[in-house]
Amino acid sequence: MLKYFKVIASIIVLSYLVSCSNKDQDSLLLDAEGGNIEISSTSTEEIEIEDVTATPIQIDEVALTVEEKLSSELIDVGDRVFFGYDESIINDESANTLQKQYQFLTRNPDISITITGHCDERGTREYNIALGERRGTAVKNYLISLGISSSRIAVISYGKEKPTVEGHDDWAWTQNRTAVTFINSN
Amino acid sequence: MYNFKRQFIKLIFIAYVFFSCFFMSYYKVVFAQEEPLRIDIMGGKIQAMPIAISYFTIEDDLKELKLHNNIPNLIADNLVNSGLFKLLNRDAYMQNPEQLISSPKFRDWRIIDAQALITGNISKRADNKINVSIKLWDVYGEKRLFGISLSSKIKSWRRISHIISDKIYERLTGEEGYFDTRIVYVSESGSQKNRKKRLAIMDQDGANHQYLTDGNSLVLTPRFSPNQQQITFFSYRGINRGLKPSVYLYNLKTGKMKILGEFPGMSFAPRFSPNGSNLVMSLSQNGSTNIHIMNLKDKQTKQLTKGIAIDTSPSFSPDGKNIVFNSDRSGGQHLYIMKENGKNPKRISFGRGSYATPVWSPRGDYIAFTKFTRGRFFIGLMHPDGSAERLIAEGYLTEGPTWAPGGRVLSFFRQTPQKDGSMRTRLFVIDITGNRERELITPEDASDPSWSPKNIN
Repeated sequence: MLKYFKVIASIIVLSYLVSCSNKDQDSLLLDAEGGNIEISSTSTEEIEIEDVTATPIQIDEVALTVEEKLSSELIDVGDRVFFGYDESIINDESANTLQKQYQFLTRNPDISITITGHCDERGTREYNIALGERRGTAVKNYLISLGISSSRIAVISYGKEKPTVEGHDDWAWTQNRTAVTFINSN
Repeated sequence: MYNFKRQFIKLIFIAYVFFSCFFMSYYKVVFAQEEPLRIDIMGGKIQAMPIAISYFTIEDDLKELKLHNNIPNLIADNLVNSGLFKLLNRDAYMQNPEQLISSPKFRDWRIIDAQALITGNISKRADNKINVSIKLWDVYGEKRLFGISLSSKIKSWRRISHIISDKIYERLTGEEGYFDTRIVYVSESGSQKNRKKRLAIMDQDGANHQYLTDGNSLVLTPRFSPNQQQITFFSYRGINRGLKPSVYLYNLKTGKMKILGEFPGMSFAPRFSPNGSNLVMSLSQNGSTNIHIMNLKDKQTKQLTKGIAIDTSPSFSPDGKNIVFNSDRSGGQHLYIMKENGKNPKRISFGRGSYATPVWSPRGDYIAFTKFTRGRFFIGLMHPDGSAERLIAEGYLTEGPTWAPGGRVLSFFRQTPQKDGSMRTRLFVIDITGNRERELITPEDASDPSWSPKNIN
């Protein structure tokens, strides 16, 4: 119990320090969902407190980094498109998603992206590396046709090496025939 | 319906195997008095040749190492694993190793139907090395077929046994042996989504296993160079430093790794030319994948295929004059052969399904490939003109054939779904008749085997 108080107390002290010191967010990362705490600096201070109710606890939310915000925005927009077996055709649904990705990229002109191409397991490693590259390039070319500069887009293929889902049925294969857009860190 | 379909495919497969056995893979044992004792791998009778391998005699002060048992046992394992030989039970031998120091009593060995007999002696040399000498006897011809003597350090006893196995195999089959060889492969662990893959190397019998990379970055498709000391492979190891996924070279002697070159797109599917001076690979850029060749001395590259298709998995013919590769230029995936300069591409596969990863046999007479059709994967063989296609192995996923020296035995990998939904991925060895398939034991899951050429002495 006492240990718990110590941790909470450290948070208070730290978050106070953080808010004072020009919001140095790197020193404290608070995961909004799990409440996991990762303290990376050495400035952990401990204070003894006797009664929790005597000291009101103030919890400040740590804002998302710009990168985190953009990534979650991209996921909301739709970060991936899907393909038919052994195909790399951008269908209407994919075009719709890519239209939104285009708008997102236009709103955020400073970011560059990497598109990773993926395949389901029903092909050889080497052919699937090539097929994944073809899929990634199909997405790249579509975005270029909408007006995004090619210099902002890189393509990497993982073939069948990094499936989105595990499983060996139609549903899994559908999920794994994809091209996913990532924001490059700087 | 589904079940029926599966049964039907199975039936076709069995029929295939049966017919190929019937026409192609008859094993003949010849032991007429006048003719030398020999197994004809391509003709004749199916039975394995019964052989006797006596324990060896040994000097007393070497006895505790048990080499006089271990060496003949390893030779026996090699020969029996080839499927061409049957080891006769040692309990039935009527002469003990000491009695065999001079010429054997052939009649005693004919009684148990041994056609060949192997005897040996191990002695210690002044320089602390051991000397292993063996004799191979033709029991019915009543003569010594050959004798050899090898010396090395005690710790090299496995290699000594493999070299002896090769000599015996070569003498009795007329084919090149493949026991004094290694296999490099991709060792896999972890979930399918986040798979850890590292390069590993081992002797062809699984001994002397070691890892070459740490698993921090994805590695695929290692392939031996003909000079034995280098491996080329495809890896994502540089991507955090802004490098494309690329072809790398690994020097087995120094343990040093280097990128082959930086190209505009991804480079992958590497293979050495038969003399080791060139390397063929795929470069992919802007959605098309073409085959290029690099001279390893001056690093000059030349593009061999052009167009928007996927051209990948190139493999040289043993004479270096042609390259077989996988392309989807006609729509489906098929196999093509072109000259080493890229001229005269010609399609050689015409069956149903997708054909991929062609690998030219070191003898030149076959091309092994991966085939995907009706929801199943197969390892198949065809002649370089595309004739006599037949499938020798099957699975949920089988892929990546590689030839042992001699061109009569292959390895490949197979993924088998388990009841709990996970995958078991293992290496297998099979001969060109599609018979005698066996698993190669590895510490973890394993894929992408590449069989080395014969070790260099």
